[in-house]
Amino acid sequence: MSQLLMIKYGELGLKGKNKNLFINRLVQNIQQALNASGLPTRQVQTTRGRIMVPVLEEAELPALREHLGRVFGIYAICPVQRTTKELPAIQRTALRVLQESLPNGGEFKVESRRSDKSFPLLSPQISQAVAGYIFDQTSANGALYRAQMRHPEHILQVEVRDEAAYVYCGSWPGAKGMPVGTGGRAVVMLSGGIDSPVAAWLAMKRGVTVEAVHFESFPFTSERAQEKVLDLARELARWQNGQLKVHCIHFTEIQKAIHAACPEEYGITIMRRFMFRLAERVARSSAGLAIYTGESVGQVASQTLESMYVINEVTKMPVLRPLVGFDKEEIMARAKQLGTYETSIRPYEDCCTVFLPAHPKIKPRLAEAQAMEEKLPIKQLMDEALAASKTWLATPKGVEEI
Amino acid sequence: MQEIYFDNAATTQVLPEVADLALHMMREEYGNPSALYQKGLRAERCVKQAREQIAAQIGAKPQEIIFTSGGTESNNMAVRGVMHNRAKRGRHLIISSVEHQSVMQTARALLEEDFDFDLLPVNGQGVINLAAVPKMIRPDTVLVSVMLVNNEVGALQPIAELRQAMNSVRANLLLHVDAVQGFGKMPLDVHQLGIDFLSVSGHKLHAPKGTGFLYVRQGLRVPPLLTGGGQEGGWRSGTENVPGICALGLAAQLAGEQMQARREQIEKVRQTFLQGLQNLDGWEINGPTAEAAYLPNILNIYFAGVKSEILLHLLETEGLLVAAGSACANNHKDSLSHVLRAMQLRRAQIEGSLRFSFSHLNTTEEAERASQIICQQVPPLRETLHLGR
Repeated sequence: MSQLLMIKYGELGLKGKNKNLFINRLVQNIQQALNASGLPTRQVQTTRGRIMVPVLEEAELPALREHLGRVFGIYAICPVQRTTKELPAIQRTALRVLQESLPNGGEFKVESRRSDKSFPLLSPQISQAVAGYIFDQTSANGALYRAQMRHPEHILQVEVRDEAAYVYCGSWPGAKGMPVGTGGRAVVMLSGGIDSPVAAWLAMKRGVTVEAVHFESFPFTSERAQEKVLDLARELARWQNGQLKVHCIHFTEIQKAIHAACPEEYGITIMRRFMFRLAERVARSSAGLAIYTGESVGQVASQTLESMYVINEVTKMPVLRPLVGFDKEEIMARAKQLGTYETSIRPYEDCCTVFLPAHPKIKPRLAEAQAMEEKLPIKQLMDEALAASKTWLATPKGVEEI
Repeated sequence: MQEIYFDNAATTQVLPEVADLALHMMREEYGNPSALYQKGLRAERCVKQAREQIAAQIGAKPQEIIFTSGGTESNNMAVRGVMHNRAKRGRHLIISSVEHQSVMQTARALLEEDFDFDLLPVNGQGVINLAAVPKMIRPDTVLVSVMLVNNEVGALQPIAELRQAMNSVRANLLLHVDAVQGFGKMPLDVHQLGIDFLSVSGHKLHAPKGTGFLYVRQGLRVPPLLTGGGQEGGWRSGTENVPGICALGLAAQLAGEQMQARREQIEKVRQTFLQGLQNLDGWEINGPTAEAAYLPNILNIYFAGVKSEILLHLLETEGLLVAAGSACANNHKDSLSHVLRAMQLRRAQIEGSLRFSFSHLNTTEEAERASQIICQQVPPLRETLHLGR
């Protein structure tokens, strides 16, 4: 008898011809997560559409649960016991699995599947034999375990396959979504606030490989603000095969140029227009096809529909706003769940108050913004900003400039 | 790029001979002073020597010195300890409105335990208002806590006069002095000044971080914050930080021996720096300007039309390291210096103020270059911030 984790991947089954592509990527990502986990090395096993992760010892389970819990595309993780294809062995294993997952008793049902058609018992017979054995063995301590066929609280699963028999009861929820790397590439604008890391995470969750774009305005913002973004990137990297590229774009000269040439109330509108243009340039240079942002309609002056309309006009690339329908509390709850909240609430802003007007335009007009920008050497400013930018590779262990 | 470190009120570089001694104590004389064998005794002797070196600097007896982890612990131990110990006699405390947070927040925390405190106001230079002292003392007042030198503007507090003012009301009031910025930089005699408790931190004095002491006048007691093996005569348990204590002892002794020379050097650096700033307009000194009223080590300057944190970062890019009175990123009232606020400075003035703090290791060349850097950086920043407004 040996223990394994059986990986279930619900959504992927629906992908028809592409199914193998998706599964191969998922297996790769799981292998990657295992390699990076610091646990003893092991190979992911794939047989007949089943993904299995060996468990070397019981004490590894919490760590395995944590690391596999961050692999998108996994629907559920079932701790499974493998045993020989002999009824007594299956019965003993089934009893132990049930006792471990329901130590205080409860209502259950046995479900069996038999893909090895040479096994002497049919599926219903296996279920009967296993349930009968469990009642025999446990009846001495009262009716600790009761059968419940219609609406069982717990299902004890028995699978008899070519290579061995498997028994399990219950599962851990997976991260769901799609395997990272199956959904193309995009950039995400990462500010250091609460929202944008959640947007990045939701992009990854749909299988998109993202690179982050951050705008730094040293000396108008502290280097601590950039440090905060890199710490967020390290946290997010854990959800993307342990890697996240961060482009830190030197935005200071653009800020100063806008501040000098444009009316204060339009400062943010024009600043955001520059940010989207730059994000598009970064995306193009890294084969990205979309820009993700943490915007949610109505949150701040730059996130009214009127503002989004005027700001969005600078790019033809899809701008995806996965948080668009979320309330702040929902976003905060997600941020806590994925582990970026504590970093996001550090007090270093990504944009200095100097450049924040007291009364930003809530309903800017496109023609006005365009007219104001005519005074600015847009391309030159952008080229210089990109030339002075730095790229970092964030991994859970740290960051390095590349 | 040559770094110019003008943030010596934040912390200082450990002197080579001080670091060497600490290393020696770690590598060779690493015995536990409580151990019974010779090696333990040697470590104990080193600690004893440090205690004597320090006591000599403030006119105290060695047994009146308790080694701690630094200024914060010493301030906590004195303020909290005295209030707890004398709670039956009274529950009222007076502190100045420009005290360090380790005194300020300790006083605040004591409110939770039904103690009460009042803030002694300061004038526009950050010097306490002596006339207010007798009026503030209540029948249940136990302790007055005022710092020797203010850490942000360098104002010297009139401790001897404060003691007189206290005595004019009642003789049994206790006086705690936070001397973290002043110790080793000016003559200091606890008896002359009538000080009952004195807090000192090592790392402001070219000793390592995590070192410091509290002077407790003989006959007084404060309950220990840490209980355990009874080290430091039971005042402060925990195996002695022998390398740190010895380093602090040596650093204190060197500070005493070189006090005059260091002070002259620092005066020269300060004067050169201020002289260089004559090429710039629109700035003024926050804090005392009369020579007897400040410690030359600390200089706080308001630059009109700038935000201090941005200027700080610009200076940093040129290698000049200084401190700001407020954080620009955090646009809350709380982020403004409580010292400058107590001095009734305008918000814009607080937001445009930087602190320069010198040590004897600084040179007049550095001061000259620092002033040049400032004269170069301030005008374009002013222009940037005012364009479009």
